[in-house]
Amino acid sequence: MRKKLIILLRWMKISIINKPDDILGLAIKNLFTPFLHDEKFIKRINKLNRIIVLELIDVYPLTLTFHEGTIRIEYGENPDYDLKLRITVEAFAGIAEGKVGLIGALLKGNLKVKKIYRLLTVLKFYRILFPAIKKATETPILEGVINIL
Amino acid sequence: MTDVLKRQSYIGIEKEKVLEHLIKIFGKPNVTDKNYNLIAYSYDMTESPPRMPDFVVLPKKVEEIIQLVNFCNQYCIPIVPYVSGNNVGGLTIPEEGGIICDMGKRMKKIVKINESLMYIILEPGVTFGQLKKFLDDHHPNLKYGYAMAPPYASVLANALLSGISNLSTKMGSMGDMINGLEVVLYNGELIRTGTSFLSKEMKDDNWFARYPMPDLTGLFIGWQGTTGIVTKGALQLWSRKKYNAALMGIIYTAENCANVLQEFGRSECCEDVCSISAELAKMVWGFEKPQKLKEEPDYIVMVSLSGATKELLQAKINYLRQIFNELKEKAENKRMFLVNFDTFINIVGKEFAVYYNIPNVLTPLYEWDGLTWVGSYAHPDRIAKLMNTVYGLYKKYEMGPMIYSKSMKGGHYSVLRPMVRFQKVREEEKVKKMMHEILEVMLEENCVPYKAPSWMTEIIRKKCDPNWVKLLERIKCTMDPNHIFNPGKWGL
Repeated sequence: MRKKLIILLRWMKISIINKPDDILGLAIKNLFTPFLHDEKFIKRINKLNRIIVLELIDVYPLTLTFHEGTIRIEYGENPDYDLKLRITVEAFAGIAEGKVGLIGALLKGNLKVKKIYRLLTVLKFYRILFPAIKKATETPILEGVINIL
Repeated sequence: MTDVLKRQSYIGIEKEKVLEHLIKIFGKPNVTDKNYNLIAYSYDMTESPPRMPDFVVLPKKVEEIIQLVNFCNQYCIPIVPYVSGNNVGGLTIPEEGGIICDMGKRMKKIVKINESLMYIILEPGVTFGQLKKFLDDHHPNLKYGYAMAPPYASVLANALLSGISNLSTKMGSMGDMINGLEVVLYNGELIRTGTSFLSKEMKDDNWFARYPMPDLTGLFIGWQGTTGIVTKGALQLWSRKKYNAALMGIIYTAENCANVLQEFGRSECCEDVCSISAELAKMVWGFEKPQKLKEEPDYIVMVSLSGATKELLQAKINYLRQIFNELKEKAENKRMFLVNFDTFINIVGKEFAVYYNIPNVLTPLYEWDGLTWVGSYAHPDRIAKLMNTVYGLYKKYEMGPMIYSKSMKGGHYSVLRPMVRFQKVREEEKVKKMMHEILEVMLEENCVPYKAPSWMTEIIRKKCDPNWVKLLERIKCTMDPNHIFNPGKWGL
């Protein structure tokens, strides 16, 4: 009974357990925060007990540790990662603007994956991160401004 | 509150008599000599020493100011023009006491707008927020250059002090936006500068230009209220285009940042190109003690531009992208990226929109009781060196580097503004030392401070051409023989 309750609580909410001290970390925190009570998101997070490094190429890497319903976001690279994604700034912005997809980015070399044999993890993480980016950029913030870069 | 001096009497008149006379001019509700009212006018956020005024008056009409000036000139009583007091330079602190003439409360009229000739006539109390709302509501095809300042800051004071705005990359100093002024001189004469000089009577339909006659408007720009009381100003408006875009550069190294500022400024495609140091960016996102981590970008560049058609805007963007790529190609450090501003802030944090949606309050800047800067006009090709040197000084004094820069007037010059927020009780002495050191470095590189506080003008006067100082003093003596207008500023 107690075990079931714990599982239920885990499914209801996940949390980001630290306050990032860098800009990219803040971005990831802000992207995930609206989804912390989202049922689908919670399910996906709970299935992902992994250490993932996300690196913006020529910027810097970030380590995301998913563990039992918690997310830790840290500046820098944890060498014990399970998966590492390296993505260009342009591709990252392109995903946000709906111009670039996962396959396209991979084929063009704008997204590189280390330990790609963990394909399931790649897909799971993709299904967490990319909807969050898309959701965040659905509504423009600056009034009357068009994105035409 | 630190020590404040009080003046007990003036030449030939007692304080009580002054009060009586002021009440006659302005009415009792619009005059005060009560300390609990005066104290708010005795200091600002900067390190400038506080000084108590003796009276505050709230004028509504130009006639009242004429009477005030006549009276003060007779008894040598200082008058300090005041609107909102947030100039970050101690410029409205009454260094010799006297009367604060607060035009921010009751002289807030938009007198006239001329759509066809694209100018607007304002009283000094009109604020950026008020003007923006007025234009958005009634003249959406026109715009003004809004300052990176709170919405309650005075439009006219910003122009008179050669401030900057979100049109400065294209148009230059806000002083250049002034077509003409209405000013009360020391003897109570009311004069008009600019093309409105042509009629004997005051008319509001001929303020369309500042030239070609002798430019008397210059007698009041940058003088910090020491030559007369400006009661109206005619300011240029600009056509607002239908399509707008905003870009953001994520930049490593001061050299790359300075190059982008300079070349984007020279492209003539941008209305505004400015940069902030990583620490200043992080402050807006709410990092408590913002420090740049080793691999974080050094600077964020913000660009805004517009076009009458989407195609024109796209062409400008393509050109900027080309410039950016060429700079990246040549750069020693190739870590520089150009993205859409809106996409970036959607991902990282919408708080950053304050840098685009101006006028606005950058709340964290006002989090503590102290705020100061050495805002200077600078050589675009020395910006990188200055950024690096100034950055080092911030580190020496263990303060977070908050460095703002802007390309001005198509790249003819730049503005560099190292800022610091601080806790007055704990950090004022340290900040004073740091600001002095920053000023020395900037003067060495031929920078010229704007909205300069008195301690700074004192140093500038020692360094500059003595004949320039003599001329400055001669003009001051002519314009204000009894030294009643904001005494102490520029050492006058």
